[in-house]
Amino acid sequence: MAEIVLKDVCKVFEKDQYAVSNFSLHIRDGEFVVFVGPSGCGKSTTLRMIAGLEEITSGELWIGDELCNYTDPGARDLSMVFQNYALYPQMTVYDNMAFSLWVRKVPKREIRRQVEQAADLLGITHLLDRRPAALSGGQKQRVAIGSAILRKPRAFLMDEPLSNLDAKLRTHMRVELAALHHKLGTTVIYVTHDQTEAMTLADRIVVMKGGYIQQVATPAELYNRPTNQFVAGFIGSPAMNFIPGRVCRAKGGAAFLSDGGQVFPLTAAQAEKLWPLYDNRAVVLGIRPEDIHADPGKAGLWGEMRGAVIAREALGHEAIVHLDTSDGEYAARVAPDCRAVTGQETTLYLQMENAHFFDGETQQNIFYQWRNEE
Amino acid sequence: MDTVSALQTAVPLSRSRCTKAELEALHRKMGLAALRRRRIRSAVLVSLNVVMALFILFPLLYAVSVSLMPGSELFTMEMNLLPKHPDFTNYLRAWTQVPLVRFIFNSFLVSGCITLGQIITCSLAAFAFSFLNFKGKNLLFLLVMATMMVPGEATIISNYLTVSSLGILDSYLVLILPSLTSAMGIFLFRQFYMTFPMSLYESAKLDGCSNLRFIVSILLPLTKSAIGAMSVYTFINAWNMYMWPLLVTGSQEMRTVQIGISMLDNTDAQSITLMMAGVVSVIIPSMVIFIAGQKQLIRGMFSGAVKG
Amino acid sequence: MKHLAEKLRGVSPYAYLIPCFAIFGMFLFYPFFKTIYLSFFLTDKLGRAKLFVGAENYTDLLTSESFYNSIFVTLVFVVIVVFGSMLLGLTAAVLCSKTFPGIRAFSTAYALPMAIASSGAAMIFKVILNPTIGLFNKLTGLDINWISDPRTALVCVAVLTAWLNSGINFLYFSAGLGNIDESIYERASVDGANGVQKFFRLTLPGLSPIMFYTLVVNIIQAFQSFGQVKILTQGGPGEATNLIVYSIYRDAFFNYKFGSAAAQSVVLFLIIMALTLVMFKVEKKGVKY
Repeated sequence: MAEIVLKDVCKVFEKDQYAVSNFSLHIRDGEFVVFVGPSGCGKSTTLRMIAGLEEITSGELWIGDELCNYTDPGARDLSMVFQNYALYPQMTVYDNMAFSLWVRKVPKREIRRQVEQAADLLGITHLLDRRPAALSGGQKQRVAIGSAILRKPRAFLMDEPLSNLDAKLRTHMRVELAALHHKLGTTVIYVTHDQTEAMTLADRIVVMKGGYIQQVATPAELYNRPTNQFVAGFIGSPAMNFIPGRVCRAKGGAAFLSDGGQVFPLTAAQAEKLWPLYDNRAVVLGIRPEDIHADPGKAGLWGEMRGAVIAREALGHEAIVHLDTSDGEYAARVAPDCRAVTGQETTLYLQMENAHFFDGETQQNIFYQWRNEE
Repeated sequence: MDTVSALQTAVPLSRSRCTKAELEALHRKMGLAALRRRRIRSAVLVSLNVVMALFILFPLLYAVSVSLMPGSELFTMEMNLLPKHPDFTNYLRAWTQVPLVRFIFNSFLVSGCITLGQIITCSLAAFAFSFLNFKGKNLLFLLVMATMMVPGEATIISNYLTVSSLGILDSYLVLILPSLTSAMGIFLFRQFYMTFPMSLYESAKLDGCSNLRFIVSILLPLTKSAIGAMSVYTFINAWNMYMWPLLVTGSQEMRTVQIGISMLDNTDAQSITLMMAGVVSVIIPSMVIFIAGQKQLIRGMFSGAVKG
Repeated sequence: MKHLAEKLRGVSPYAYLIPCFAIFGMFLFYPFFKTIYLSFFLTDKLGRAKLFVGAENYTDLLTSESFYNSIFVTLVFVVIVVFGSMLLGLTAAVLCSKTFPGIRAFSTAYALPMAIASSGAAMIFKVILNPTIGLFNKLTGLDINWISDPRTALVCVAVLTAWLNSGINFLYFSAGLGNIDESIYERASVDGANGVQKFFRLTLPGLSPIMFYTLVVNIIQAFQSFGQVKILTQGGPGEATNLIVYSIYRDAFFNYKFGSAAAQSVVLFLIIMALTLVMFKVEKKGVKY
């Protein structure tokens, strides 16, 4: 087990085309870190650089106390789970799991003990004699994870390990992975494009876009204080609603005037920061669906949003209402007994204390800026 | 392994106690080493390939070289890989001494007809086997597949007796006729047709399309790659046919290149260079067709036909 | 034209099979049974069955030293050819499995022997192996008459055939290598395997599905070699290269012993049928992942 430190790591595939730029991150020993972002954001490339499957163009990679930029993948003492599991097709499950020990010339008896132990932990003992082709997706997944954990490497690298499973199994394996990490306490670096996986599994999440780190934070921090519009929109489901508009003078301070003509009140703190600094500048108001309510609460500052209900998705414990307003379409997460009916006009209430404001040009959060301290 | 030693040089650098200068020096050193390793690796790969390619192509290159040598140059005890005074006289003599043009024409005609014929008969049969339903379909298909087990050499005697009793020896017909269909072609086309949904055929039928028009205007355009592969493969095999033409052709006018070229097969001193000129002349057409059609051939052969 | 099309619409599915089955019938099924029939007869010079002799052609074969020699020579030949051509094809395919500048030209070169006729190739080898002016003796400094020495003639024909057959093997193996999932090599790298371990534990087993198919196709193809024998050695010296197909040819068209040649054809057929059936059987059982 070891900590992993990346310092200004860059990857250039073709001349001056940066796949990953200035990636700096300190992964603590035993931490579960998730790289998340849309496809092509450089998350897999970064993981592959850590594994040694891609060369590091510049920067430093420290695993434990060693500089590992130039170390052979096999000598880095990491293990990796691939998206397609990459099981060796001609070997039995047993041989698949034993392979990494076999190449290290571990005695046969010791291999057997470790494979059986790992198989037992994952409940795949009865599969040891089978070949990968005879396994279901979930079983393959377990074999891949089993192969990865049995060597007790310094860290696990996982490249979208759950994306080939069906939805139900994915949820199940997610829980198992979390339990496994708790039990083993090994450092995990996990790549996914699915923000739910990131939120549920991670100690810390690294949000990436276009080769750059956008923000590194705990799931809660990321949810509550997104550094920019991209992170805000990427984390959370349904995604945060964005209402473009402007700040204008209003009685008792300032208000937010949307491009569609809706007016939302601002709290004193918001008004103070936004006015007059953002006078006549584009501002985007961000509000999460869960901060739009069917009824205004007693306390707090509420903004009103009026529009026609175009769809209502009942999910049992809650309902998602899609409202067509003069500014476009917005989603609200409301209680299941909400009276909004599809096709009818209704008014929903925004809890303005929880609203986020982004600079319309730079798309940065006006109230909070994350800075990479590494 | 060099990478292990690389690791060992990397280990002493501890993050807590290494200076920036040390780090930079290491980066430079390892960067250069990595570059050198990459260069060496690709140089080794390319040179291994050059050696292998020379080894594989050696007989052909040597044949070309000899064909350009004047007869006197060949007959020395010295090493003579390349002609000292290359000229084309051997080619001129080879082309005048035996009717090479006629042989090549014959081979083109025969191979072309065989290729065309196989495409027609095989696509018709494959169409029936994949889109139509009839009694005994599986049995008949099995029968076609079973023919793959019968080597041509095992039936060649009876075939010879058949065609000689029909009195068609020494004609284009006898060269072409027996090769007008092939189990492999039927199999290949069927493999391709099976990838199309039955609804393709059914909707064409509903639009009032006849079977024949379905084959010509829908199936054939969709299976261009299979036809391409099949054409290259069949043409080259027909061009290189040896035993059958040897048995059934007697006169010079009917000989195909492979038989005709043997007329130059004579180890007496002066004719070796001549013989090589002839061999090179008849290899070139099949080689050109192969190189031109190689991509088609590979795509067609391995996209469905041969499951890896 | 329209009239014809309308007619064809009505025709039964069997009509589409007529062209191919007519050819198969005339040049495959009929001669196949005729060969079996002939193998029980003595024939005249025109190949007409004259005298029913029962299994005598077969018993003659089984007591003939020449036949055993021909079978033995064929087996040795097949082993050398198959081993040689598969090794050449595999080596070439492995060399071309990673991309590098000029790879297309090289892969064309490796596949090229499949476009070469056996007769032309045999004539080239004849020159290379020529005892006085041949390049091979010059290169090796030996003084051997390769083709007329009974100890070397068979090897020469076999090497030539291996070369001819290596082209298609290159294509088979290249396709096989292309089917191996790249990510298992990456996993092996992370697991710490070196190049040799990867080759023997991943690459070779990964080729096993196509390896067996290629092996059988190669054996069958090697059994059928004819042109190179005819031109290079004519079955000689003595009977050192009297492969079974050449022996059939010689018995039928030089000795006019059509009955005996037919019996040998039946034996050849049985060997190839057995091989094909074994292939199908094993393939069904699944040499697979």
